[in-house]
Amino acid sequence: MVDAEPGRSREPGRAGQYEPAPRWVKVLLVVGGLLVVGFLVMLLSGGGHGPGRHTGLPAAARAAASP
Amino acid sequence: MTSAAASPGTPSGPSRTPPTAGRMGPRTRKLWLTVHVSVSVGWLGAVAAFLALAVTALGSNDADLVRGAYLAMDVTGWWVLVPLSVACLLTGVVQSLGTHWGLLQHYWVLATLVINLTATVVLVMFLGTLGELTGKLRATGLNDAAVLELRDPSPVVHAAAALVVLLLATGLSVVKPRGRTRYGQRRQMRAVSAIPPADSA
Repeated sequence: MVDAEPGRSREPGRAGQYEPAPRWVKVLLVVGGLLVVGFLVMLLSGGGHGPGRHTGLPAAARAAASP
Repeated sequence: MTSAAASPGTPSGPSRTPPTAGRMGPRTRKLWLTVHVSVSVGWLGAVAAFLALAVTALGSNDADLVRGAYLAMDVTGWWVLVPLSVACLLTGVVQSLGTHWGLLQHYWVLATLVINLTATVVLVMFLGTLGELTGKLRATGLNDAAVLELRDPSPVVHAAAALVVLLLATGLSVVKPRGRTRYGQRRQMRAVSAIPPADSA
């Protein structure tokens, strides 16, 4: 029996026989996905984006900053 | 931030690809790697300086200092951050395509590519909105109270987030965690099958 290299016990190339993505990739995808969803929710809820729109700057300052 | 220094034979490297797979010679590879690391680290340092300016502007009650900090952020953003981010992206793509790592074969290279692309796009969009603010600051007749009213946490939030993702990309480039994409696995399989067995002679 040939010793398989760690993490490479299955030969890739045929359908259903690919090595799955490592855990760190899945964690990164989940975190990135949550950030994108949060950003989209913020935009769609009318929060806007950019200076003065992140943490509730006074309306007067926002008005002053707008062109 | 894809410091794709090809090192065939290392535990995380594509050790089973044939030696002819790389497209760059050692000198060219080292030159590109030096340029890529330089602009990547430079980008990280520039973001740290940008964050210092943003924190100074947000926390100061000195209108002149606030005005100066925001104007400096605007200049730094367009003349330092954007060129460095684009240079980092270009040198990273060249470096990865010219070595055994490839651009889409390893998850860590792909992740740093996505981080670099996203950070560059967000940076350009953010600088557009920062320009609105600095446009007001450049206008004459703005008194000190109005300048202080324009202080904004957004640059601090953006710079801090940029620092985190760039440090993450740097970490990925140094550690080079294991894991091939499906495309990378197919490429590896083809490369392995192209190598004749050692006892075939």
